[in-house]
Order: sequence, then structure tokens, then C-alpha cells
Amino acid sequence: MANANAKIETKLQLKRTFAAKRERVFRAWTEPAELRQWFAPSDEYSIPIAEVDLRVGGKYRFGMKPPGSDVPYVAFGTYREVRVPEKLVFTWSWENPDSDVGETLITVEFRDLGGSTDVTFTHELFPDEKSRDDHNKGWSGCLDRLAKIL
Amino acid sequence: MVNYPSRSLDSTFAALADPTRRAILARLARGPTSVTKLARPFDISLPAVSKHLRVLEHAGLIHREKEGRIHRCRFIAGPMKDAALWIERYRRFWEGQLEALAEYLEKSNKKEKP
Repeated sequence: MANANAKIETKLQLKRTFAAKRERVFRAWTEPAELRQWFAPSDEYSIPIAEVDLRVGGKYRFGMKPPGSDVPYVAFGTYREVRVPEKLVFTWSWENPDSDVGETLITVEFRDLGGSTDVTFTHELFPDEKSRDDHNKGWSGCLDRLAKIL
Repeated sequence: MVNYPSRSLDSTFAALADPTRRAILARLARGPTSVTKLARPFDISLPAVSKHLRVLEHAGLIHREKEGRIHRCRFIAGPMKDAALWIERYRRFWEGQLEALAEYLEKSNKKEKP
């Protein structure tokens, strides 16, 4: 793989325009009733789990069940940033992976084009240890302060 | 396609979760070199670079050997190919999800029209 232009890719990014207003698209990503309508690899899947606690530090769970299976694939994570209706940042992990990359980081940005919306979707498969450590430090700091108040 | 056991997959991904290590790998993917030359563009000490190299070696991403007093490193392609496969797998998954979203929004637009 000796390659003059070698880059170590650790994330993927997709961009897509949706023919709907930004608030509508943002709701589709964040309201359980909406998510149950689309958040699965195909029409044959059912979406038995869609739990959302939409705030920084809040958790979500999405379960997608393939046809003919009793067991859903369940993804879960924590919201790191919630900026209605422009941006979502959340961690992403699978509850029962066979093998997997571990905790990853997703960013969804919504740009208003009037009647339609530009979405930029980024999945960082190998988020930097440092940002993970900083986040953990931030949280333990918050919890320490909270414990002192209570 | 060679299957790597999940323990080595974990150490590959841990190795990749550092921007300095990724930059080191990108340099080595262009061709083998000595540790001294490798360390030059980084604003960190040689021991710090060696520490990163140990992590990369432990993950099976590079091979280190001594030629007299020169320490050489070269890139090992296999584990990175697995990482690339994961990215492709997820890309296909999310392309599918965004397609499903587009169809759903279109369907519900039609319903809303009088």
C-alpha cells in the first residue's frame, strides 16, 4: 500500500439535500414517532425501539429488526451537542456487536435552503482519544460539582 | 480476505484514535523510513514518538527493526485495510439511511398536499 497520496481515513462524510423544511428534517432525526418511520436499512425492517432524550448528556436508543429475526440491532449513545434545528452531535455504539469499532461520533448539520434542507452527515469511526478524555473529564467534573450541591 | 480477531481490531482502532499516530501512519504508507526521519516533522520528543511507534507496532500496523544503529519502520497494510472496510460498511449503511429518510419525507410531503 506504498502510496504517494496515502491518507489515513478515519471518518466518512455524506451530503444530501432533502425536499423539506429544516425544522421538519430536524424533527425526523429527533422525534421517536418520526424515527420509527424511516430509521432502518429497508422497508422490510421494523423499528421497535426509538427512545430519545434530546439534550446534552441525554441518551438515545434505536432498535432495527430485520425481517425474520426476533432480535433487533440496537444502537445507543449520548448527545454531545443539540442545537435546534441546525446541529446534532452524538456518540454511536451497538449494544451487541459481533465485532465493532467501539464508540464512535456522529455529527449531523442542517442547512436551511428555504423550502429544502442541506444535510451534512459525518461519522467519525476513530474519534480522537483526547476529545474522548476531555469529554470524560468534563463529565466527571460536572458530576463532582453536582454531588457537592445535592 | 483475512479475518483479524477482534482483540487485534480493538488495538488497531485504539492506535488510530490519535492524530499524531495517524500522521505517522500516513507518512509510513508512502514508504519505509528511519525513526529519526519520521520524528522530524512532529513537535514532540523522540521518546514520545517512540511511544507512539510502540502502540502502532503492538497493533500490527507497523514493523520496526534495527539496522546497526538505525531504527527503521515500515507500514503493514493488512489492519488498515480492515479499518477501511469498516468505513465502507458504515458508508453503505448511512447512504441507505439517508435514502430512507428522503423517501419518507417525500411520502409525507405528498400526504400533506391538499
